[in-house]
Amino acid sequence: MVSASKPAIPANTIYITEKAASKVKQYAARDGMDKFGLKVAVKGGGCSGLEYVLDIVEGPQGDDKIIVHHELELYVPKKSYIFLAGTELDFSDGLNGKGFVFTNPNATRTCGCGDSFSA
Amino acid sequence: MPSSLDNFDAGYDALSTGVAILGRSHMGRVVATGGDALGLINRFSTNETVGLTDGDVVVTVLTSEIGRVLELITVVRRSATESMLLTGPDAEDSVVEWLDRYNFGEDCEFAVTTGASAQITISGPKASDLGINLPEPDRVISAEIGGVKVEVVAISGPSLASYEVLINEKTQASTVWDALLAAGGVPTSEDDFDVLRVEQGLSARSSEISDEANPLEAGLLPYVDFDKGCYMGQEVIARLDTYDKLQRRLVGLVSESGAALAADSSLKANDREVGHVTSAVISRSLGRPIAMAYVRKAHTEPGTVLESDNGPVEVVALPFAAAGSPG
Repeated sequence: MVSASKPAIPANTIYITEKAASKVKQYAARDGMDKFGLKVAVKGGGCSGLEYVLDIVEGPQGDDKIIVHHELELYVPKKSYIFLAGTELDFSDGLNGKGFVFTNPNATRTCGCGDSFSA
Repeated sequence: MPSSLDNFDAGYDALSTGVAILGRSHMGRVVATGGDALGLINRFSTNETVGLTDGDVVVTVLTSEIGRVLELITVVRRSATESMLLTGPDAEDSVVEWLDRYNFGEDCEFAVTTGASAQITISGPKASDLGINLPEPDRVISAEIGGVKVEVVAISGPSLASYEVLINEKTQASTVWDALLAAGGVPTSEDDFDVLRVEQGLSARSSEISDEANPLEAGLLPYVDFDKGCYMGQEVIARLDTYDKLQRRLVGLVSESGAALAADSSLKANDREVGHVTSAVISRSLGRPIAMAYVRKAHTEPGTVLESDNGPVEVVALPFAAAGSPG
């Protein structure tokens, strides 16, 4: 029997789905960016202490870890990576969609709005 | 520099009717630098720390993700890129560690200055008799005391109103102390301070304020800004407030037998534990043992009699009647 369940994201990477990657490329094209990648990071804040940060940028900075999925480069600052390893980034559209959605196995607690987490 | 005086009456009287001075160099002091420092603190504490102007002072409560009190901090904004943080004794390192944990490359640094600097508290209704420049409430000003340049920080309630004199060089502390003494300041002790504090029903670190309490039950409501938006623990604290979910409250206790009460001792009703004593003193103004306690909500009505280790105690509202006025 073939399992229909989604394969787990390896703990040593951050995965972006094809749909989410496509959305990032759309936003970059809208802004006229030729060379770009997606900064995926966390910062201190929100009800649970950590908030996700997404930003379309021209390239990596400092010691950013570079991960490529669906021909999109993800730039992840070293300190953020500790809290994001194994995370899947998806995009939920439609009227009830939530936009970019993180599924983070490091999150031990998530606040009501889903934008903030503890790890 | 002396930090206490054996004459109990003189210290208490100065606090309640005159002007008292108290060495407080053991309290934590941290210099926060960088344009993002107050923004970071704002995202991890209950009061608004952004939007302050230079010279503003605000007390805020660092809270955990479940809304428990981690530390009470006084933020003193010196400039857009530098502030002083005043913490409780031995709390400065853990405060810095906590904030650094959540600093992901923001423009802020924290440096503990406790060991190199000094602090003297001035409290009492006649503080102005000392003849030094005193700031308005919740402000800091530069001043000169005994020829030493200091900062004077005015901290308003719900803690005992006080002025904190911050001395950058620890070696100059005794000069400042001697000048305050010569100007009429009466040395007092933490014990004297504690008696007046309990009479006024005010919470203190290591008794009512701890990581086992949330800011609302610990009497820190004036330091919670419900309109500031998200901060760590905000969701829990907002829910406690909106749905009146506090399970226990801070109350006053008076001993019916006149026996002294003991901090940390348990309180029972019908042989079931319903609370515990957090602070216990002999009240000067009431002339009897009094205490503060966390008690389950169902047993907090004034007049309720609970069983303590030292006999029956009566629940009374805070602050205690006939308590001295704050300084």
